[in-house]
Amino acid sequence: MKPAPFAYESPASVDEALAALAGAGEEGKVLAGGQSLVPMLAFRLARPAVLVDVNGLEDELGGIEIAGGQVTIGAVARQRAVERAGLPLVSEALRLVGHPTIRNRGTVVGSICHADPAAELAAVALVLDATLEVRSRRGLREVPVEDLLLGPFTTSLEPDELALRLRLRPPAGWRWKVLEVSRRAFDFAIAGVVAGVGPDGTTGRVGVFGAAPRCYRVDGPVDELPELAVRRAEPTSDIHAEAGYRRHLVGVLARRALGALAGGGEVRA
Amino acid sequence: MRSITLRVNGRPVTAEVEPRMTLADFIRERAMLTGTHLGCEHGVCGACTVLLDGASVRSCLLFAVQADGREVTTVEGLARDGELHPLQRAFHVHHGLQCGFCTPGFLMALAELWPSRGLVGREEIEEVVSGQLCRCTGYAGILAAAYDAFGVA
Ligand SMILES: Cc1cc2nc3c(=O)[nH]c(=O)nc-3n(C[C@H](O)[C@H](O)[C@H](O)COP(=O)(O)OP(=O)(O)OC[C@H]3O[C@@H](n4cnc5c(N)ncnc54)[C@H](O)[C@@H]3O)c2cc1C
Ligand code: FES
Ligand code: FES
Repeated sequence: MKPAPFAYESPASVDEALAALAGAGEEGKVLAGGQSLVPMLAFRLARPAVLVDVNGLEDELGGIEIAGGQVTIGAVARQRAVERAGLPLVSEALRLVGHPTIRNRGTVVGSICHADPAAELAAVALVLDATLEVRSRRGLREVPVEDLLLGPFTTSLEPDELALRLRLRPPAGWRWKVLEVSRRAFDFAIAGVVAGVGPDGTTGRVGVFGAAPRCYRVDGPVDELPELAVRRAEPTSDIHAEAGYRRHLVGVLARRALGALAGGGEVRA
Repeated sequence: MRSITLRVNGRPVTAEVEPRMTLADFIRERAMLTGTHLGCEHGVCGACTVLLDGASVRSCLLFAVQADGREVTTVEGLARDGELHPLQRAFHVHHGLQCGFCTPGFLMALAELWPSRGLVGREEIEEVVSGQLCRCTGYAGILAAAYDAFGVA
């Protein structure tokens, strides 16, 4: 249960970090909050030769900005800080991500890059049309989270690429609700939804986590959304729950969340 | 190997370490403070919780090299001048422990809230307690101790 040996780089700038990643080739890995990566190293599910620790890049990548209807979250902004940044939907989702101690270290961008199929934040990113600003020595690209998530713990990021910031684009006038079922408060969800209703009250979106190889989003008339969400589910069975139960939860949680939204109130993005 | 210096409970500790040495192992094997326990070594149980510059962290999920130059507080740093910390006293009074394996983690996770006592309610305490595993007590004594120490009804 101890990580295998690795070389440790602690770059002082984004440029240095990109150089370290480029130098490591296929063997490098970014270390952000470490709340997912270090367990994988301990289990030796990951054995990178080089860890590039980006925690020293607070000045360049620590920011959280809200401007012009867009929210920008830097790669080393801790989940705990983002939780307190006055973003109601994101805070509501973050309260369900691990425990306070985990959120003291974990980053929002790290959660997106980790691509856990049960990650609340990935579902939030999908419903808010998020993109990730990604850089390597080869150039800069803006990747929609929709195209980033390929499958369980698998993204379209290349080994030499560093995600710099996440941009969320909350549509104006929408209201949101996050619901999940987990075994214990704040544990990973068995399944969950991020449901939203537009200003017209009839069109909506549902982001689903924990019910398919990756988080997904469905759009449509509010009445049809639970059914659409269930149809896209591809759940698996594990020690926590059977596939059929997960599929059932998607429908129930989507209906409950949309029902709560129909009653008014609930959070804005 | 790298030479690093951490302040552990106010005392500088310098050692040569491999980058893969966790903060937990540094505390136990270099600072020689074995109050910080290791249960799972993958972030789940909370037994290894310590404060890093006042914020609680899982010391099994951080490498010692990442804490170079920083201030670490472990359970041994709670008592002052031979007097138990009020949290420790409350755990004693309310039977907040049986085997005691989980206790340092609970104390340190709660210690993060200590500077904001007066502002802390049941909800914050329960959120913190739910992040720590105890296989003995059933949590009732731990919660009673925490409510009492923080003065919440
Ligand atoms: C006990 C426990 C409970 C948890 N519960 C939940 C939960 O309920 N829901 C949930 O969603 N998560 C949960 N987590 C995971 C937690 O949210 C992590 O913080 C998060 O998944 C990863 O963020 P990190 O900053 O710690 O990233 P790291 O662990 O440092 O990295 C994760 C992965 O992303 C890559 N990466 C990170 N940042 C970048 C970047 N900027 N550019 C490129 N690649 C990058 C890393 O290389 C690695 O592959 C839990 C973790 C623990 C230990
Ligand atoms: S030993 Fe660190 S959380 Fe279990
Ligand atoms: S007292 Fe034994 S695990 Fe908590």
